[in-house]
Amino acid sequence: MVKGPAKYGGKSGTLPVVRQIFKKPIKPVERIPDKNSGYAPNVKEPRNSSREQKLPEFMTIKDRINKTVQLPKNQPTNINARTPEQKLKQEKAQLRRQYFIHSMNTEENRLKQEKLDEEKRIAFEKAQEEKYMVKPSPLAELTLPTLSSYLDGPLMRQRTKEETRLLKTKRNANRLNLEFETKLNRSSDLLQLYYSAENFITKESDLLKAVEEAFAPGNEVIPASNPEYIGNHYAEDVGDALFGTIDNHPGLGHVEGQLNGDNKKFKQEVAARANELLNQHKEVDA
Amino acid sequence: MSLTRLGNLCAHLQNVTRVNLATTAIPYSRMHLEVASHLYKQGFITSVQKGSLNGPDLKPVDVTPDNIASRRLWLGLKYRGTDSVIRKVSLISKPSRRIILDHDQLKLLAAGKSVREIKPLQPSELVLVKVDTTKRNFSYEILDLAEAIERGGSGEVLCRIK
Repeated sequence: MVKGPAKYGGKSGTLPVVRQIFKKPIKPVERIPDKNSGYAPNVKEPRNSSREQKLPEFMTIKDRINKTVQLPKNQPTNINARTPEQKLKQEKAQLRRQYFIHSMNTEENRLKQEKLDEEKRIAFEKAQEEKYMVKPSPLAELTLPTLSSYLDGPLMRQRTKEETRLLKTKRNANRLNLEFETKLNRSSDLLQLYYSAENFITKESDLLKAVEEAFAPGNEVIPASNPEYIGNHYAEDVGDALFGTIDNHPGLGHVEGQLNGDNKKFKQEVAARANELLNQHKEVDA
Repeated sequence: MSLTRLGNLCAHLQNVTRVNLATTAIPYSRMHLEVASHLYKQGFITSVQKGSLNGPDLKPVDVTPDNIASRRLWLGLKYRGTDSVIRKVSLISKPSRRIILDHDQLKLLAAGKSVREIKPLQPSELVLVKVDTTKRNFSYEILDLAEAIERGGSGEVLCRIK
């Protein structure tokens, strides 16, 4: 087992970070405006500062080359009078200029190519993804609901405002109807109690009379528990139901009509109509 | 989510497959629909239809608070010859003993190992797991074991279908 850089084939384990040749941007930087940063419209920026963040300075390759490879201002006028060392130095400087220009252009081209390659790669990956992606047909998407679409949304549609209003009205009407029927039944029961009160024993003399009647020969009390002796009251019940009476007494409708004057009005109308018919008959006979 | 109702569903599915019914109705709720969708995806049933107590709907019907009580999901049951495709449906987590597994334990279960006395996942077996959802308005989501592992995080192991 080797140790140290030999582990990595004679190289150091950590390679230095690749140095950027262009430390400044070589073309104008575009900044995408971000609505979450900067100053609000009603806030003023601090003194000696700008409202918008400054963009970094840039220098194009052409400018940089022109600025760097300029010939010295004090050029000797007679080139032939130079010594060989001077000539060599000048040639070397010229070579350096050429190499510099070449390297700058190469790096620029490399960066351009790198960007193009990256765009191509992204486009290719996107195309591959789309190629293998199973797309539901647009027809099914527009017509058939899927199980997952049911699970994504609410399972039940809530009542609309109109439906809620109708339901409330319906419930209110049902409640009022129930209350009315209850009151009607109670009034009917009260009327029945009133009619039954006629037979109630309220005096001592009535009680004695009732006792004598009960113990008189032939008036034996029949045990109510024996079903054979329980008299049926179907005929009375049918009569009451048909004519709206209570135990052959005037029913609730009749009493109500009497109280509010409807019965009287009805009788008058009937009488008027009868008179009218009689008069017609008389005219015909005459 | 009620484990009691899920238990009822498991028992119901076992009962109807043992008497060879062609279709059956289950209540219309999110939990039932999620379980039914997994059964359908894994090929345990032939169809899932919306319907009422009387049968599957012939025309689309709006689900409202007025008819929600009579809404049902109709499942088409699958048979191979005279044998039902669903052999056994049973709860793993019970109302009296809920089993929540973390991500590593779920992976172990899927890898064919026994975890907390849960027998390992067999071939052609479906295990449903309840996980926290990322969907808005919903508190949970029912996934099968593989989906739950892919999602990451822990989950309550609900039931297994053989």
